[in-house]
Amino acid sequence: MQLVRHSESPLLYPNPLHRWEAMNVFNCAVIQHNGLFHMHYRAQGVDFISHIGYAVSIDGLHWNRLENPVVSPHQGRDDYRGVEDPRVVRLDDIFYMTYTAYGINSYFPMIARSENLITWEDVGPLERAQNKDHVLFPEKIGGRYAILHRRSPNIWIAYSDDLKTWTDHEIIMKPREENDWDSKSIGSNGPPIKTGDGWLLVYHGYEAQHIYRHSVALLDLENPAKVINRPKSFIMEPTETWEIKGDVPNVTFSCSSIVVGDELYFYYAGADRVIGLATAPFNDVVAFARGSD
Amino acid sequence: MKIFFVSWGLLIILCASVPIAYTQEENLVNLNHLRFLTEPVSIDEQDMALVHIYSEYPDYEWVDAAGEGLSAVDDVARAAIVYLWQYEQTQDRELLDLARRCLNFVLYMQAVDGEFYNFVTDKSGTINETGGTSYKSLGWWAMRGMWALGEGVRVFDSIDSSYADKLAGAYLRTESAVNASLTNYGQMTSLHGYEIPAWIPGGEPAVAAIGLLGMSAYYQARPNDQTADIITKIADGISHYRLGNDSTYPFGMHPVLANAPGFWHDWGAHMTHALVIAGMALDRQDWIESAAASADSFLLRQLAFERFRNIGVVPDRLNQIAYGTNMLVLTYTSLYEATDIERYAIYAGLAGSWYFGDNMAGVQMYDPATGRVFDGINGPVSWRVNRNSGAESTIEALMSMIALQNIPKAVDLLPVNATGGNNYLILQAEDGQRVVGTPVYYPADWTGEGYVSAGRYIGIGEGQRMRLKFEIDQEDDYLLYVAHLHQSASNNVNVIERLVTAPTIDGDLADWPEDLAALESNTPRQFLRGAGLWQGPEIDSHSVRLGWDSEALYIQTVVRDPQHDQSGTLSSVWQGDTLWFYFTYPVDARTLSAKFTLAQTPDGPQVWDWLNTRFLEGANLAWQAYENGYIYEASIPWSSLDVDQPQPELQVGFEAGRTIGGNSFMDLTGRDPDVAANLLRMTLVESGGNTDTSTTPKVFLEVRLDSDDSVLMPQMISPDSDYFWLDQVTSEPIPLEAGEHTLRYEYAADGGDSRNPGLAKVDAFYIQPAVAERIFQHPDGRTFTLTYNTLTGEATWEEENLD
Repeated sequence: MQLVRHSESPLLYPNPLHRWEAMNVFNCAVIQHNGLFHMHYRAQGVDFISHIGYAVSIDGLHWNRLENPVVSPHQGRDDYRGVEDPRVVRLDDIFYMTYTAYGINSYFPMIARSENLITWEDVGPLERAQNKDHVLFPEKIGGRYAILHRRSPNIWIAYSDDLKTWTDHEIIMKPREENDWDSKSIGSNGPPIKTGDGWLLVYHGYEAQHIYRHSVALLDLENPAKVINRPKSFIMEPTETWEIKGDVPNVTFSCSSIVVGDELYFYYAGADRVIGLATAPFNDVVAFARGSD
Repeated sequence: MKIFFVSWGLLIILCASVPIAYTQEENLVNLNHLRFLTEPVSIDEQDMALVHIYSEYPDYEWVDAAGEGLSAVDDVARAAIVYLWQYEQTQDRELLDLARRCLNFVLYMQAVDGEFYNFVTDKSGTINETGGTSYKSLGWWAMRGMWALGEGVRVFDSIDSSYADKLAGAYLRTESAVNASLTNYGQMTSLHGYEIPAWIPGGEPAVAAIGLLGMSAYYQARPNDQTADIITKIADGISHYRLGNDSTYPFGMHPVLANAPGFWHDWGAHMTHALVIAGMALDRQDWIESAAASADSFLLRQLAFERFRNIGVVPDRLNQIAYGTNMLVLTYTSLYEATDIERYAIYAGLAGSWYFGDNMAGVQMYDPATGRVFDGINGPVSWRVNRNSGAESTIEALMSMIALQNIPKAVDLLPVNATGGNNYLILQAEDGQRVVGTPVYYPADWTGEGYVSAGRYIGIGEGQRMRLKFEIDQEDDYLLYVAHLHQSASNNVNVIERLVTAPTIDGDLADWPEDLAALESNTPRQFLRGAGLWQGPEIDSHSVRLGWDSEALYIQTVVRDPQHDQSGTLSSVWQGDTLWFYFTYPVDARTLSAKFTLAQTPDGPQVWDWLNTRFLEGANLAWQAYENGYIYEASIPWSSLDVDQPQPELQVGFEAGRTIGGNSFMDLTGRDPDVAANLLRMTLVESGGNTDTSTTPKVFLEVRLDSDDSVLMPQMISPDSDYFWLDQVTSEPIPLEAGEHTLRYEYAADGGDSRNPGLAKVDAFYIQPAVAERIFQHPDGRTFTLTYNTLTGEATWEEENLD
């Protein structure tokens, strides 16, 4: 089971005419809403400070970008180095973005909300600790908000009633030392996708060489801390020139996978420089996650 | 004639109590961190030293990563040189002992034929004999080994002559191997109209230059005719291979690769430095003048505008490291030593100021208090600095400090910071607005001769027009350049004829049509790497003939090679004689659709599929030796090449290459075959069909800046293969005011042949002030201004004390 790169990839390049996205456009969230695809993407200009830009598309392939970022550093010393890696879900008619604030004392995970996908308002941090790769489930579980996050090198889960106070932190998946691609660290990609077999989690991992690869796992619908199955092999790794060479080599990084028709659309960044798309029949991915491929 | 003057505004030296990067009480050279990385070991009952490769922030303990190995000649040899050089400064016998241990490791890693392995994988000295950065070769690590041996002989000759003799014996083995590779001496290769010496070892002047440093050190200790002869040949080659001038690309550089005349990277680029050292050793003023000419143009450009990591054909400044900086420092310190001209001491100081914070991140990279050196800068902000301190960074910085420490004028300038001046702009052609029509957008990266900037370029065809708005920060006179493709006359159009009868795959070519045209790889320009190892077409070359039918692509390749050597199977065949094939379909596909090797292995003929890491499905191969080499005959089913319906007029991309030793590689185009866009464009035709499909593309580009008259670029047709180049749009400077400007560019001819449509292929525009200016502030209050007029070559240096 391997994802197949879309022939038009890369879809999005840096735009040197915009100072804030002149150098790199990469880790992006994509959701479908009102018949359109909406993308929030991390971008860096000549100062390498990360901003979050917005683009819209009718087919998920060809994008129109706003001239200015929709989220920029705004917390002074706490995020002056950038706002990074957006992941977006729609939950109770509100859009929530999880992103990473990068400031003077390292980085920490933030949550923001919006009603129109353009203007965003901070809800608050998940915690003021070195943590990232956090992503909300697209619906409440047991009446509470649920979030996956990464206290290195593991994937954790936590719950909240108000998106501000998070409790019941628990490790759900760890790196597999014996496995050759995710032995050092793992983290969630985009929001989990609900299926009849469980939550489909697409996640990334790397080994000693820091090559970022991706695979899937199935989490229990009612208790996502319970991993139903986690295949040993990966479904995506950097092979194209634009995935191997760029700002950070050998990195494919994804903040969203969505279901478009019968296909899984896996949006990802190539070498922290450009944005691409890979796809696979959704049923095949779920079958692989179940371990019955 | 260059004019250089120093105008001393006020010669008042203040004793100001301002912070500077290090104190005068502190020695500039601190070996503590290098000593920490150096671990004494005993291998085969010999005292040796390893140098640990990585040391990571914040605790800077050893980090021995898996993979390549624990320690390498690359680092240990250079560490030996650092210890030797500093021993000469201090007479500290402990440093001599460390140098001896390092040199013993270098001796241990030498093979009997003078080549070197690079890595050991453990402290007991297990050599990594097959790794891609460790196999036995005469490349980078061998030349560093040779440099250390030469320096060792020079220093130990007066201290321990028997040990010096031992080092000399090893040195001479490598020198002899280098000498054997100089068979092409006197021959020139023509590439893109440039005459390039064909004898530079390995076809890599950057690698050869390291060897030249070792030979010069050895010659200094033990003058002899053979060493002088080898130095002369190599230095003549490097000296001759300097291209362009102050305003004409490539701006007076000594290129790093013989088959890439427009490409230079700063990592280990000691060509200019080595010419000075060799010139001093053999008293050859012409080599020193060649070095000075490059140092006063191409290298000065980096001090007066800004440092770049590589250029080819537009500059890229990211990924700066000490390994690149040291080359610049040593070039200028050696020129100062050779000429006693003060400007070189000034330039050495400016180059060295990079270590103390005069860099795009504004971060002090070398700490004289600890001897640590940060590993690199990848952006103009502090958090894009890699604060690890590995062996290479530490060693290269220490070489700089040792060379600088006795040049007061240079040391005085180490704490300066650039605070003003002007700079150039790079505009990506693909970022322009489409005014009329839609260009073809080509993704690309390394072309085999350089990098396509920002990973894309465009092809503008008939009736198409683009517009690009940009801003100028300060009013100035600018030179406008375009980075675009010089296209070959035939645009590599070739044909594959249908075969009436499929040949039997048995190694006997008698059943092939006699009149099939051959694709030949038999000239030095067809080397992607390692042309210097080539001994001519009778010893190493290959001819490829192709045919097709509805089932398969048929390949016959006649290889000239006196000895077939293949002991590997499956994916290990790359270490022996192997023929590599690359294929794209559709012809403009962005990635390869097939990559496979033909090899005659101990298990018989094997066709290995490198994209799917298995045997290529359905492929059939036969191999046959003949008097001067051997023959591969193969059939490759179209299904394995992702072609559903082969038919006349169908176009595919194709390349065939092989190694002739080391990491050399020659193919049909001389370009990197792993980049799909570099492959030959082949057209399927009927049997006996028209084989003359060559057409010269029409390449006309018209450029207009603001409301000025447009300029029609002369048609840029390459005499051989496609290549990007940076050409001036106008030779006269263009005055531009601060503010917004518009660049318009369009195709300016009727279209071309349908098989070879006329497209102007443009990567970027480069807009550069005619006179570079850089203002430096010294912590003690002095201000310096460096200017470099890229039209006249004049440079000025003014110093004033604002207090």
